[in-house]
Amino acid sequence: MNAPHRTALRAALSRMLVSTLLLGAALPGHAAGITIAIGSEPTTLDPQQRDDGAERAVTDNIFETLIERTPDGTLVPGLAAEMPTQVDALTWEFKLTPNVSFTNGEPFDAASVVASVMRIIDPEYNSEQLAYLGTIEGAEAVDDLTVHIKTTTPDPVLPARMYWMKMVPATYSEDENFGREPVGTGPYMFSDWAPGEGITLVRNDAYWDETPQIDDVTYRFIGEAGTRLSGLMAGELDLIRNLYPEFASAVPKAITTQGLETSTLVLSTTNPVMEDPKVRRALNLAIDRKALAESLFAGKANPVYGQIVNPKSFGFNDSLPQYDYDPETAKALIEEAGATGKTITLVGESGRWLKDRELIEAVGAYWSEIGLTVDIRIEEFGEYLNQLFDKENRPDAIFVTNSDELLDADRPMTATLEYNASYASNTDEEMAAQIQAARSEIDVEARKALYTEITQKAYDLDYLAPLLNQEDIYGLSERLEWTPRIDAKLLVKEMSVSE
Amino acid sequence: MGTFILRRAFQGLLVVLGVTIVVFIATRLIGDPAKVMLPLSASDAQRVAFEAQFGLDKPLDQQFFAFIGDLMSLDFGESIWQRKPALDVVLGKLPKTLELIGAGMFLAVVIGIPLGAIAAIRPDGLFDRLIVGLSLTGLSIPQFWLGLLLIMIFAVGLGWLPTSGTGTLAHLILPAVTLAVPAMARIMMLVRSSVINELNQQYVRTAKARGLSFLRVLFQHAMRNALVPVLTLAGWEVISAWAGYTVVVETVFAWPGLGFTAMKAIGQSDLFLLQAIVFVVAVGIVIVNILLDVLFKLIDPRIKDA
Repeated sequence: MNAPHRTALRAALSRMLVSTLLLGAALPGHAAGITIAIGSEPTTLDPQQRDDGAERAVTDNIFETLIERTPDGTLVPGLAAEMPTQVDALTWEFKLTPNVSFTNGEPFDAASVVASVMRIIDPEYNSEQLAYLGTIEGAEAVDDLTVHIKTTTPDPVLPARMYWMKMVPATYSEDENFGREPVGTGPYMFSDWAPGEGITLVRNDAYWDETPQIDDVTYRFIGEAGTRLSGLMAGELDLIRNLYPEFASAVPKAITTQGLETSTLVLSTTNPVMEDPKVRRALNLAIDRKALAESLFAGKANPVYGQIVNPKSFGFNDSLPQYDYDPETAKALIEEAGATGKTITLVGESGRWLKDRELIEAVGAYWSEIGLTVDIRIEEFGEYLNQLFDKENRPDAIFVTNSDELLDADRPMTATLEYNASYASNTDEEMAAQIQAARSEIDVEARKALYTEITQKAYDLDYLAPLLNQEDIYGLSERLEWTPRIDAKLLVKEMSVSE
Repeated sequence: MGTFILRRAFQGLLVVLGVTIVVFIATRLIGDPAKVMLPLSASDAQRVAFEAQFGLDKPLDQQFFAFIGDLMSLDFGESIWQRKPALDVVLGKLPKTLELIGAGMFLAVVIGIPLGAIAAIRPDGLFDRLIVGLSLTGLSIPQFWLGLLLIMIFAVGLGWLPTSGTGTLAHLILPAVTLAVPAMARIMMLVRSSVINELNQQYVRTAKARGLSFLRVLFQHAMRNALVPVLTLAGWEVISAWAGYTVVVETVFAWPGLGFTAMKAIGQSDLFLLQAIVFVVAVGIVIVNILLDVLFKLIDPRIKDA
């Protein structure tokens, strides 16, 4: 065999070798699919119908919104080309990103935005998400890539609301198959839904923005925390959420991030013992929040800063301190108020939120230590809700966990502090008026100033005893790389697999 | 026999109707779906609109008569949680639960009966003691814990089987075993004591004296007589699994059946779905009971038509 032949042979051999290696490398590359556990099987993949976290985990990857958030919560343009501008107090103008289409070929344009808005606010359609979108009155196309969205009252939260509302294709969203085989503009496309078993999405290779790394993602429906954990340990799953703090050390990788949920006690300001501000102040001073975070949440929760507003939310008052733990002063205040030995009722539930019962019982114990008799009532959830929403008879203290999906003070303030709106236990009409004013104050600084006043007053008069900002805990497989987000979305495009 | 079955079916119909009405009343007393389903921060107006959509704002007596009317055409209304006709949801989940119960009860019977019979051959022998010990263990282990233990050993530790889910035969093994264990234990104990009892009867001694082989005596006589109580127990096991004992197993193994759905329906205060579930379960129990009655009559014609 002469030299050129040998060279050719060697070249052929090395090509074979290289291609084998590449192929070999490509095989695990093909396995760049991941499996995520969600708590229940979605009832539909229509992203505008239900208020269901399991469904959102899937549709967040198929559909997109005009406005997005960065992982730390800042609002940025998504399908919108830039942040919206206000035409007048009731009208917001959105410019759209050009050359985007839905994966079935329908264009994403002003018509599809109008269709998406009109569809979700249609009373006939009866979306559960209206709670997040309440003020939106309608939308109209100005030109192909410009839309006006109208609100019933001036609404400063509108950009955050548009972060919530997913854009659907104008024509196909009317098809009865839409909820089973959804089509969006997002980085992943629906592939398969085997009822009871799983849902699979594949990468949208024609995605208008940066193409993600992971090829496909399968969602499995596992409600039981212990079962999710064992699935992760057995290598069947790559990502589980709502990991119990005590299991964080048992999984390959556990990561946490500041969550949206804040636990609180809503305190009555009118019931016999509770009407004295000294008593309410004592209740706040009696709770050792640091100890609660350490012992119940293995440190994966943070004592609040004198308010229920999430530190990442608009309206967070950064001049308020963390509550002191001072049982001696608390005891003295109770004595001063003549409340020693008096009974207060603490109402709560069990099993809805992480460690709810333990938190309630611990708080009850702290309150007993300062000389009160605490009647802890853990109610069945339906009965608990009846008491939570009862406008006539407010419990002395009722436990609730507030989740601030829109990262804006309006919803937590309305829910916990606005007299006669939801489950506030005070009768402060002035504060209620301020909360209403803040809801439609368009001037950002004026609005911020209103929330500063509201949170300061609620702190000074102890309308609430907020407890902990909880952290979200995720369990990851060894190979999955991901940084969790403040809004708890599981965006597969932000994940990668190392192999 | 025909009139016997008809009479049983009619009685069963009354039972189903009664149970369904009780459930209607009970579900209206517990929980309020508008509060449970909507976000806690939804406004009161949104809750009122929600109630109106599902007719929950109407007076209770109106709701009740509408319910009875719809019941006649097997219309249970739309599941609040699934937004589909409630009966369709139930019938869609039914096959998975039947698969689980079928596999679990099959294991319980084919393992429980022979082991119980073998244990009875030499009461207090080594094998008997082993069987009794195992039965007691099987009866005392909480199913929830047993399920997680099996997952830890066979799925996480050894990696032989999947931890949860459904789709292949491998997925069925652990849930079926978990469901089978307590039933198997009870069946083993009952077979054992019935066979011991039979083997002490006069006719067995006669048969042996006639020169019949022990195995023939065991299987042709003793076992046959022991069959009625064992069948009764097996029927009861099927009914109790059907009436809700699969809930635990379905939850632990993320098995998408009726028990899991029932838990969810309760959690979501889905009145309409709950009514449909209870109706289907009640019908199932009536059917199993009728089948058992027929079977008993075939085995032992002396059983009265009471």
